Amino acid sequence: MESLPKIVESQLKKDLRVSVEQHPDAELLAAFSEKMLAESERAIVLMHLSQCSECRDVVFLSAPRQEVQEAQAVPIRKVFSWRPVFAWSGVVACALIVGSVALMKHENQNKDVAVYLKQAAPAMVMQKVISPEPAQPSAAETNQSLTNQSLKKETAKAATIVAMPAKGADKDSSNAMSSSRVSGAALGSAPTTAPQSPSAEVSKSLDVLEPRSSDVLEPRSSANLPQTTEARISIAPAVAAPQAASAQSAPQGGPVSLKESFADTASTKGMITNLKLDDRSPRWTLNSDGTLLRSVDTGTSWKKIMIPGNLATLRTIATVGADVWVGGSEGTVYHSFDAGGHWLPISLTYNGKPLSDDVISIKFVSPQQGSILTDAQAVWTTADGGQTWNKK
Amino acid sequence: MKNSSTPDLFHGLAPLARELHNASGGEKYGLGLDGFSEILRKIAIKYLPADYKASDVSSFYKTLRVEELALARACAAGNERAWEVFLTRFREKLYDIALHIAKESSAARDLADSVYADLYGMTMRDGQRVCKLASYTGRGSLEGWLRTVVAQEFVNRYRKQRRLISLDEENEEGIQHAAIEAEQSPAADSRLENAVGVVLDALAPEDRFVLASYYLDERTLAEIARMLGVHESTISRKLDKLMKSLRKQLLAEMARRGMSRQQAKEALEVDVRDLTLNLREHLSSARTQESPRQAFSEKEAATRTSEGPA
Repeated sequence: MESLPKIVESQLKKDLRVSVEQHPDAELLAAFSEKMLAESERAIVLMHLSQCSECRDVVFLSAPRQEVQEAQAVPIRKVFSWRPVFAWSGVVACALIVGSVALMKHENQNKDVAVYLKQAAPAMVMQKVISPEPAQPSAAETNQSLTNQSLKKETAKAATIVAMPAKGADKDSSNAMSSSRVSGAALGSAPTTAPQSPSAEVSKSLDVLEPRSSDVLEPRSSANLPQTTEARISIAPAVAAPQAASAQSAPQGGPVSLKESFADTASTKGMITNLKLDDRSPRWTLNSDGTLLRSVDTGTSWKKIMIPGNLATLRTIATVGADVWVGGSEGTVYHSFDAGGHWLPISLTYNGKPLSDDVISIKFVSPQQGSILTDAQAVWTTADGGQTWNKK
Repeated sequence: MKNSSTPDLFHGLAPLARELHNASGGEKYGLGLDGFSEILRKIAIKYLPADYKASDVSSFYKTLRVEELALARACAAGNERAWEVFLTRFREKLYDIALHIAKESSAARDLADSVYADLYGMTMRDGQRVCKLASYTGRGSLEGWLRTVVAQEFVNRYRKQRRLISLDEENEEGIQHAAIEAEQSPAADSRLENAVGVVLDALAPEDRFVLASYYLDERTLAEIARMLGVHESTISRKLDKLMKSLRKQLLAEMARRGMSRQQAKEALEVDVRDLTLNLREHLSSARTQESPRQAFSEKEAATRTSEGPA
């Protein structure tokens, strides 16, 4: 922390020497520590404290203990965090840009090749369209550099770019063919097996990537192509960046592989671990003002538990497994059988007279057997989980 | 303090007073409705501003811890049952509080006993027993109030003890009634001093409190956070921001007083170097001559209490 200029420190001390005639009473200082003062009163007390080191010492010494304060201040920790999502989104964006640039460059190159083929040997081009097998080596060669550069970074956008020339298939079959080659090379080495339907399954998308020339020539091929493109879009993130996929929400109806890769990521494992921690049996405590607190993470954080309808100040607590009993002023006793999920008021009566003394201690050795001590030094015992009581 | 409309206002609040009296359980300690209403009235007169309204009184009363208020006042009135309940609830707790503050068991026992004597009303004033519990007004928890009372007692004892030690040391060294040396102002330029005065006066009370706690009392960020009931990182951010704004405002104030930016920066920089040399001397003299600032750092409290006489 930065040093305080000496003149400032000196001036602060000088103010301290202004004799403070009247210190705030213990009442106000206690209420200040417990944040019970109105804003105007708090400002007055703070002004005094800033000038009176004695009262600052008193406030410091009488400040509530750390654990109680943390229980009030720390909220329950979130299990899932969006932070990794934002962290990976940068990587995904970079991959998109690099992939797009590489593809756009290569697209221009392919257009040149297509123009060359069209001009130099139109007949040969037609032959290739009818029998695709001889054409594949040349297509692979044409797209070799693209495969190397952008195979792993290929994304949905890239797939869209691939699909663009395909829309021109109706007009020019040679363009359609070259675009289909590009698409095959862009997402992996083109297998020769043709799919039954180009848009059938995402898991077979690599098969889809190299449509047969016969498909291209058929009128329905142009209608099928957009579907193929959609399939590619959905799988692209999984192929491009499996780690990034964990940070992105999967597209609707997305492929199974995406979900699998999500489940394998470290963040998901962390979530599962946290969930296991949350399953530990809860811990209970009572605040100085009678507030009931529960921790489900071995005391790291505490949550205020409100008992519906309770107006009494709680003073004592007893637990046996998931059974919890709390007691307080004017004979108030509540029982929860599900670790604080639901609360039932227990009415203590003996010979028709209800208990009106304060409950100062509760002890249960089992969910059935327990005893209650009141401030009138009376001991109430039960052997049936609180349905009937005996008084000593 | 209050005007003539006071009784009317409280008269209108009779149903609320009855409700609070029922909630307080004062009847079982022998504290009747009239007695309890009178206590409530005095508390409102003590804390509410002069121009309060009936609605202010009503909402103020609802924040009081009436159950603990009735218990404390019944104890002060000498009700045995109230004392039984009080002791059952707080006997051990009071000792725990004293131990937490004094850090050492015999000093803690001594401190707790001394506070008990005050609570029982062993001290006499004007021929009457003065019971400290009669000053509890239910604004905070009774336990919080007890913690503060114990802390006040501890600070008072410490201050007296330090004074005794200081006088003994002076006698040993042959110095008698040494005059407090005038604080040497590190900056000769009065413009700097004025600028600092203006900037400090303009600080919000909480900022000033944080500054004094951190730099004068040498409290840690965690300790200050605990005092204000906030998270440590909040204090860290606040202090960081405060220092930046303080420096900025000082430079602006000095510029307003005719200093060039360079001059102003130099004045502050020279000052900081000077601080390193004189700070130790300054703090040590402050320890012996003034109130026990920086005296109760958690690390040192145990050592200090064991050093002094119990």
